Amino acid sequence: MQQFLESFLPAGPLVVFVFSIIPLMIILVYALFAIWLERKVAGHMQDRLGPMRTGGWHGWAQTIADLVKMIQKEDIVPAKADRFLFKMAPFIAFAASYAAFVAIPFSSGYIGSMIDVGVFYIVAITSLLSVSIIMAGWASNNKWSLLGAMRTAAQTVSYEIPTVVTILSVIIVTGTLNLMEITELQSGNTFLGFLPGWLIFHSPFMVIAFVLFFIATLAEAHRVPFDLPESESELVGGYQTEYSGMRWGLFMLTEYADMLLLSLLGAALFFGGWNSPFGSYLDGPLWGAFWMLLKGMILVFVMMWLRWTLPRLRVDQLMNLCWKYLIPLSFVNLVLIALWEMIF
Amino acid sequence: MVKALTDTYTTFKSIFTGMGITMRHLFKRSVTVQYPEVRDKLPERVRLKLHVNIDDCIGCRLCERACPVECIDIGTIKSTDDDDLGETSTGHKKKLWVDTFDIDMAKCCYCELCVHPCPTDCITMVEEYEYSAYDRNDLIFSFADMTPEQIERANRKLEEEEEEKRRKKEEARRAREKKAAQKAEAGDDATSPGNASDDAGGTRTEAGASGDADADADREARRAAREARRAARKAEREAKKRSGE
Repeated sequence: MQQFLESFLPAGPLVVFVFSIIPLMIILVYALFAIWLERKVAGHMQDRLGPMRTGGWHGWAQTIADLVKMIQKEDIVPAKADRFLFKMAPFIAFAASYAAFVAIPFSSGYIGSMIDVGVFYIVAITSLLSVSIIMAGWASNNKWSLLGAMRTAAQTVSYEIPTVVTILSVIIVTGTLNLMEITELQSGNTFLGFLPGWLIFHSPFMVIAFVLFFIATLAEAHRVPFDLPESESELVGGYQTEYSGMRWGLFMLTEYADMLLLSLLGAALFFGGWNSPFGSYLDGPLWGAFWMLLKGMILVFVMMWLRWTLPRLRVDQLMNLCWKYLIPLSFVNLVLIALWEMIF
Repeated sequence: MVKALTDTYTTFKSIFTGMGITMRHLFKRSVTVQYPEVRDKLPERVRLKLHVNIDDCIGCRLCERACPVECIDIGTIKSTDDDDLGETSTGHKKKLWVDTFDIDMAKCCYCELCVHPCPTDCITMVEEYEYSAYDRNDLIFSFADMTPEQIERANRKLEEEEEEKRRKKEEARRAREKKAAQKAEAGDDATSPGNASDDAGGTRTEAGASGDADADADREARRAAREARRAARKAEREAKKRSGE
């Protein structure tokens, strides 16, 4: 990819700039699409239609209209807020979630950085997100914001454990932390001759690992039923309460970027990443990007689907689920996968 | 351990049941009606707005009397004999000019009590419901189609005709009295002494003069009353408008 860019772009820094901005473009276009999709899914699941007017065909331009509105809004900072932290928080939030995209292999020809500790890096950098949320909640000087921020801290710290343990069970099988290598290991129709060589088909325990991973990432991305930090119906808006305009928009963008990030991570770890489901058919760098984003979008859709199916958990239920079910189960699963690897 | 497993089973079962339901609804037809483009079919006898077919109105004011909230205001002028107002589509003869027919839809309580008494079925509820306005006075709908000139003409003609009639009546009475007097005179000539006829003549002229004066006064009074009525109605309307603002 970098060589390809160098072939027609003159200067070195420009190549690096274009190279690093590709995921941003993907995120922005995806966010416009995903917010519209979320509304459509929400509408149709409730037998409504969702946005229908803006832009003509089924309100496709609704998010663009909202974006224009958000940009026009006044930038309000509460009088008693910590101005610097308050203004910084949304940028740190988005930076944290964008930084994590560097280790995601979008296709066989594009990965931001071939770091050998890819998965570890993603897990580490997404923790910055909770820091920025606590920052936002504290700087807002508002009890709802602070409550939301404290919930975030508790939630993120708790749910990182099952996430990391399920990722660890994948690492046991692959033996590498580099997501590109993990993806390459999953190519071809190796299981039973016809199933793609994805890790989810590797062993029954991998299915359990994926379910645990998915639940934990839902909590990490603060999606319903784990959206306690925001919970508009009980905490007004949680850490977002005092934010308006584009700063709020950045938090929203971060939430959707995070959804995509964790879905892509799930796709890379369990569903073969950019590998085609038909072996070598429809394979290649561009088809790879298509398959990767398609798999990611399907997982994002499942997140939306769950959002309009499940009610929000109570704080104690949230902790209960994590500490009493997910963590013990993921540890048992880790041991079982290790045994499976030893025997076969 | 067993409890944890059964709990897990129940959780996943309920989650998948829920997801099944939401997935089914995702592909179900939405109940949304895209309102301005698509409209719901309304029931046959909806009561949404009053409409008056003024060509059929005979000015009987039955609807005005039936209205419990007094939102209908009707004014009529008697038509003169030479004006033929024609018939309504139901075959009723029209005898009155209808110079005012105002319905205040802001007051209307949609009881439809005015619709049923109408002998010519000219006041009806129609299927129109998009008539909201910024000013409540814009909700007073005028159905009368007479121009001010026509109203003026009708009023003038009515007055002229009344005068004419009175005059004719007076003449007729005078002629009758004259005839009677002549008869009496003729009878007198034949039967009774002449002073009786003098008496009769004296009384007749007196009566005639006083009758003329009476008629004049009467006409004046009637005109004044009509003017007053009209002024009162106008004032009321003005007051309504003012209170509306």
